[in-house]
Amino acid sequence: MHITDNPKDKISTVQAIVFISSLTVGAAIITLPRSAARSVNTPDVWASILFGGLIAIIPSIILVKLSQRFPGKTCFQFNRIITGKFLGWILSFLMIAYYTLLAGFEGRMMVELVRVYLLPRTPIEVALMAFLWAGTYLTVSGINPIARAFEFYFPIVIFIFFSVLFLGLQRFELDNLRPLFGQGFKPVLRGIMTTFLTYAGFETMMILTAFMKEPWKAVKVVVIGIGISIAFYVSLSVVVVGVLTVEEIKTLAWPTIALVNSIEYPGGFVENFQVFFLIVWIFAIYTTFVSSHYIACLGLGQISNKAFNSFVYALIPIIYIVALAPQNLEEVFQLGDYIGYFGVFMGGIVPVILLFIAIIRREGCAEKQGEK
Amino acid sequence: MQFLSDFHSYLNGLEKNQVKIFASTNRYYFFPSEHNKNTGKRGIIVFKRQKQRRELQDKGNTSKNASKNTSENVSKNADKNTSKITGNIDEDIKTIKAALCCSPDLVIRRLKPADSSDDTVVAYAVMYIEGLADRKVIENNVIKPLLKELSQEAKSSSDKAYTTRTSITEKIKNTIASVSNLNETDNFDECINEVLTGNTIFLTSKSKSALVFNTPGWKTRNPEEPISEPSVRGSRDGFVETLQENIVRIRRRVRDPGFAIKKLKVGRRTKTDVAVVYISNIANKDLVEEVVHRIEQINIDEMISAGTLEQFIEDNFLSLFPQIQYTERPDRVVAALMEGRTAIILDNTPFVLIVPATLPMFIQSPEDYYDRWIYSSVIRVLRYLVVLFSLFLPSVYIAYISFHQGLIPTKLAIFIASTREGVPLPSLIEALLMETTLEILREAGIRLPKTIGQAVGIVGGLVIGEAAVRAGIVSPVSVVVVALTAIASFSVPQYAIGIPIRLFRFVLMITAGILGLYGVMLAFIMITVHIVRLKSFGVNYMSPFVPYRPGDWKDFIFRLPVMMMKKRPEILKTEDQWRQGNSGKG
Repeated sequence: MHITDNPKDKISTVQAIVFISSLTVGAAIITLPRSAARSVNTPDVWASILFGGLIAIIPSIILVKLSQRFPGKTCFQFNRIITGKFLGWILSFLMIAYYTLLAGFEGRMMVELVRVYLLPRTPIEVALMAFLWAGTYLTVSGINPIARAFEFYFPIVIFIFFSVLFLGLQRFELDNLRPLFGQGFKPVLRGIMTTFLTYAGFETMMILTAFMKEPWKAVKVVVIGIGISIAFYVSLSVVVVGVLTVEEIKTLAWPTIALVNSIEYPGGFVENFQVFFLIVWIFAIYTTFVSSHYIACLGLGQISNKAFNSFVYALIPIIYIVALAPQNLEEVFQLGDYIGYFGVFMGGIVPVILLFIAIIRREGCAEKQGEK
Repeated sequence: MQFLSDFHSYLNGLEKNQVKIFASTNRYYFFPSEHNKNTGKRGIIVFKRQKQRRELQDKGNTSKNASKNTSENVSKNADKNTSKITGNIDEDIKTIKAALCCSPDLVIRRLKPADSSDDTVVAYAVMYIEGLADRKVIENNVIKPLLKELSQEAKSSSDKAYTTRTSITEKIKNTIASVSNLNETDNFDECINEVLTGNTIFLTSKSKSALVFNTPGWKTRNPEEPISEPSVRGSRDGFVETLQENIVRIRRRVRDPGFAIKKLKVGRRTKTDVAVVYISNIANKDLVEEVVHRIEQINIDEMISAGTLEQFIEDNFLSLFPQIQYTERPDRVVAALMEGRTAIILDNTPFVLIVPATLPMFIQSPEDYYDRWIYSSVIRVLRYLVVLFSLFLPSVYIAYISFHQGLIPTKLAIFIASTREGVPLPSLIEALLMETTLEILREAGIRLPKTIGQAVGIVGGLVIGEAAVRAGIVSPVSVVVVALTAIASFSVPQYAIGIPIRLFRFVLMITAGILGLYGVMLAFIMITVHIVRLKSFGVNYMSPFVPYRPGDWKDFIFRLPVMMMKKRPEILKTEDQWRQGNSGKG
């Protein structure tokens, strides 16, 4: 009967779900409709996003199975066991690089939006530093406060996000979503590659499973977690396409914000719902940033056998440089795409190989552990 | 009680040879150095659960052993003869008097049979401290019957039977003194301590033990309606300054035999009584143990207010947020005890501490449970809004005015612009200036007598506000904003939570002045991260919201019907979870 809630560095199942969906719902809520519309080119964007998400569940289950073979170990620790020290080190290093890039990208997206919509005259360096500071404060606290903070923001994000979408329904035209599969499934399949990238972040389960109090529920966690972000993205794409049409979305840099700006209730006091949406994307990007920053630090800590805290500040300059590396918005989006491919490689391909090797070499315990 | 003897020996030693004592003052801490290690700096308790270690050593024993060690040290230094009652009544009285620095409020009444010149005749002495002990009880129940007895004795001319030591004390105990609570002691340390708590010492010549009559009887304040927490439908009595009466106030409301009290003493010199009260078959054992442990670790001279005690035992002393709730209302304490919390009552203060405290607790009021649930729920939602309002309103105003004019609805923007015409100050400075003025007015109002305080309010609110607007220093809109904020912050039900809100309001205003809404958001994020990191006695500060405890959400933002709250709060991990039905199921 300990009064303390969780043992140190263990998170509950709900916290893990919130963690995964907070991580996968990131900057993409701003950009996804555009990138998906460009690749799909028909009003079936939502279907593409839905299938992309469903497909993302498959590799995530694989990597959960992989990490369940090594209870209490993160992928930084178990890939060494599977592939040997040298290869393991390279894999870990790639992982760390991936999360560092992701953190930098999220930071850049943040300040880009801030520059466009809030502080046009403030140098982005200042905005970025403030953001990194706020992020670092949470990152150094460790996994438990991070999980709790995500739990804190999650309902706020859900509430505001879906109420803004609901308000957006005012100009919703079902015709904009028609014809349904007018050009067959080919455009949908074409878009899946892009939309699949959006769900990059599920590979975090390779780390998160080690922190779970009930690791045998990890499959459930990843399915529900990705399910929630599918709900986010699909409903967003339905509303955005329904209000703005595919043709218009393709030309916009920030279609989601355009949608929010289009909401207008004459006579209502609040004319500008953008402010409310601002809360959503700050939280969404913040959570993604913090979790990737944390995991990068954790990886560095685990490959060097030190506490992760010692790397939190050391990574900040690198993230800062990554964030400011792209010269313009186009390059930022390109970086995002590269990170997406990187993520697919780390989360979709590597775990399959690792699991294969692990089964052949009989590393880790194959039987289901913990089911009492 | 052992450690009290240390103190006395200390006093004695002080008189006898001061140099020696002062040279080794550090020996006279009541808690051994082993305990002090956990205490980080003075007064800062670094909370590290070392349960395993503590399980090994029974806690009670440790502290006893510890003080024994210390007392051994003491007795080596101090004069051994002084620690026991000699039986020579003049000597004994002198020793006690000396120990109390010959204080004039120490009343000594000597009783002797008529022929006092005879050395074999027994002499008696009654000692108590004026005002602390109930004089009437002593006079009527001790002195009067004894005098009667003595005069009879004198008449029957020296019945020498009483000179045998045992029979004298026995006789007084059994036939003369009509006091219900009575003890016997043979050492001075205890005597001194008893006198100082308001009891009466009864010395008998030729006897090596003293009788202690329990006669505390000082004047206490009558219970009044708590000034800091008035209520419409709640009970009208509040706590007073006496520990025992406060305990009675709780006991009268809880007739549960499981109502447990752990008495401790805090303060090397003041020896203030502290009672940790809880319902033994509800409260989590871990929690009670932790509370007692933290109080035991306090090592300080004096403990005067519950506020000081609070600072010694809270989890994070750097935080602005109150991590322990204090209240003057017995009904609130009882409700908390029944939820499975623990209350700490300090003598001499009407404020009772409740642990663990979580943030939502500070936004609730006991009356939420007295009113019907729909109304209570609405009021609670209103209070949460009020908290957000008083925290964010000025900063959002600054952000809009100085950065995001485009986001203000057009009509309103034009209106604000027209009122701000000619105002020389930027909105940040304007708002800061007015908020500071408001804080000054508030501070002036609190410390002044009520009648003057009202005058301050009028001068401040009306005259300055009106004059400032007329003079064109500030815009009327910002006066409205600041006034609204002030009113909002007054409607937060508890003073303690108003403090972080007020301070963070200033932080938010400054970040709004630098980075606009983005700054406000980042500052909000940092505040929430801080809250989420905080714990109060192992319980997350934001629970039941974070981590999610859906079972406890019945009593969080909404207050659902009491019939639905069948269980105690999950976060407290109580021994007996059921409030309604199923009792005893655990």
